[in-house]
Amino acid sequence: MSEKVRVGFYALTSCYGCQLQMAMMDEILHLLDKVGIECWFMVERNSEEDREVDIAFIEGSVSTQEEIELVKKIREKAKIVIAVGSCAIHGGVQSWDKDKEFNELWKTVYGDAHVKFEPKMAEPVEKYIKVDYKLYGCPPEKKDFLYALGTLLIGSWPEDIDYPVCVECRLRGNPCILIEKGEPCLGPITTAGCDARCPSYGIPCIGCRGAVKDVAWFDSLALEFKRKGLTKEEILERVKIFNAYNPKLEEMVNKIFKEGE
Amino acid sequence: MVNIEIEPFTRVEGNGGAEIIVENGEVKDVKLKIFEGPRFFELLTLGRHYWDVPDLEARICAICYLSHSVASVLGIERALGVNVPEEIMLLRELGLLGELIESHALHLYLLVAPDLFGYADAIRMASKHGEVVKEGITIKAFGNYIREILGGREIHGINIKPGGFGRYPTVEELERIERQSEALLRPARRAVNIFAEQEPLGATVQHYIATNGYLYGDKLIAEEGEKFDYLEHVEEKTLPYSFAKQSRYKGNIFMVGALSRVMLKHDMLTPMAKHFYEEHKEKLASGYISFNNLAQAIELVYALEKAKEVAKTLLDKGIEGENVPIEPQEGEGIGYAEAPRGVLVHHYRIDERGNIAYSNIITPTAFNHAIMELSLYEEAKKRYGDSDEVTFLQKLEETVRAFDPCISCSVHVVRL
Repeated sequence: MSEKVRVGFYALTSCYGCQLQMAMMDEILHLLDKVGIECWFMVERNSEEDREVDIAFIEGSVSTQEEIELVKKIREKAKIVIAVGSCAIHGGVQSWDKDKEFNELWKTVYGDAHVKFEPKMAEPVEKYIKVDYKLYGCPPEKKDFLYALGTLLIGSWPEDIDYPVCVECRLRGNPCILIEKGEPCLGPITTAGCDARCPSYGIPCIGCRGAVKDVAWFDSLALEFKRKGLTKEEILERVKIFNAYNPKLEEMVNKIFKEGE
Repeated sequence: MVNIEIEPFTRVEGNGGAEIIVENGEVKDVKLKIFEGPRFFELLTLGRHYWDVPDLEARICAICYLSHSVASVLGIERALGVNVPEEIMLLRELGLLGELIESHALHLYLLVAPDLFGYADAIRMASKHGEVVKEGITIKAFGNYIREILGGREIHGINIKPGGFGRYPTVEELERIERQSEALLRPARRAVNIFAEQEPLGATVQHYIATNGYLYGDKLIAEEGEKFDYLEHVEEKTLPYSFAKQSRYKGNIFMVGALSRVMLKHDMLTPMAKHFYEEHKEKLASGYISFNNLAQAIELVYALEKAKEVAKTLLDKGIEGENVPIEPQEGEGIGYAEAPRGVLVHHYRIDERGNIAYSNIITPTAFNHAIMELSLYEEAKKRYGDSDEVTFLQKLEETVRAFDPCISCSVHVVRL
């Protein structure tokens, strides 16, 4: 490869954990001679948002009008757009209450204060632009970055993950937190790739990698939770932390509670 | 009237900038601006069962997630009247020490050192001063190791829970922590000498605030030594030009962070750290906020000495690994922790079913907002017209960087 691959890392409203995770990888140093950083304010002083790039990584939710313009600009300048982390992909924890009136939320926290920027409810990047690949997680694992970037750098395309955390949890031989300990684990509906990190610490999955696409059986899990005594509201509240914008969630959970039992 | 915009700040975490207002050739005012969108964390937890709350609040910040987890757990336990045994508090302290090591090493070696050595960033600095950068990265990786073991992940772990931990560290892990803390003391001591060379910048601090324990507490303290709750003496207000809020202590501008801790709690420092404090006492006591970097370097020594001590205590006693059972009940509690960049407050009211009825969170960068603005103002006033524009902006950025602000909490470069 004679030409360097041009990379940008852009942050919308977020905790900066995704780019920190990527910046902390020793392996990144080995890629430096293959990659030219065009825009990454955390590590590169000579950063410009306006430059053309081959790969654009976007972290954070779209939470101001300015950020809507920014993602559109990034899409125009980038060949490949990768949404990184729960905020960019699902709106993040800050989008959990998307159905509440925004102005009410604003008033509760900030009172009558006005600001020059125009804030809005947090939304996923995909709502405004086409996204080519997703790195799931809050934050994604280091190996997620390495796999995607490495695969793209050799001119191939990374695979998406389409199976749940349970698969990896079984492989690690953990006792089942949902069945054996009876705790509300979201592993069965959550995208794998974390090597069942939290269940391996004895803690139920909170779904930070988002619902596994097309095959997230919210209804089956809701039924299991209902048998354990959770109310519909409690179930929705827990699943919505990282899935507020999932179009099937409420309908599938409602089904379980309509049928009665 | 001329307005000079600095945005965004570079080599800080988060998205912020400043506006310097110049009238008749004199700096009149400086406004520090936070461009991050609002995230409503206080509402995110309302009505939610206390058990999930520390995991959610960790997401406020990637650099100091563990401090958020600990502050949150302390607030919840106080509200529920739960007392945990010494072992659990020692393990939480070890986690906080790991976070301090990681965060200070990142800030000092990768974000501040390029200013002192005259480079644009750590990558460029590495070509001539590879040893220093490498030492920083090694210390930082060790802090992250502790965070992974105790916190469950380097970023946004979920292992710290009300009543205890999901998983307790093994003997081998504690032994590794004990060994490595000892080994890394030597480079950390060198760091103190590097950062002791920094020039005075910014405002001089008149009031320091910290928690009563070194890394966590049940009250706040200030220079008079009186213990108080934040509501008694700290007021908050919103600003028209920023999403962050500003605070005052008894009406005065104050500072939280490494410099505050070292000034108020030097009696609690470990032997080698105390020795460095004594050596640089006058400099630190001058209160220039750029000496916050020196205070951080002293704390790096403290944290490594202390981590070794805590790991040894735990190894000598043996880990029991028993969580404290919790019965939900109505109550109110405030958790105070020292994030690497200063005091962090998590305040909750919990109802009889264990759901959150009220929550308030104040972060160190919010506490420091006013003194950051004042520091920019004083530095700008002193330098405007005297230095060329590049140096002028560079020094203003160094001034802000000294706070180690977490603008979601502090890494971008100045652009005009």
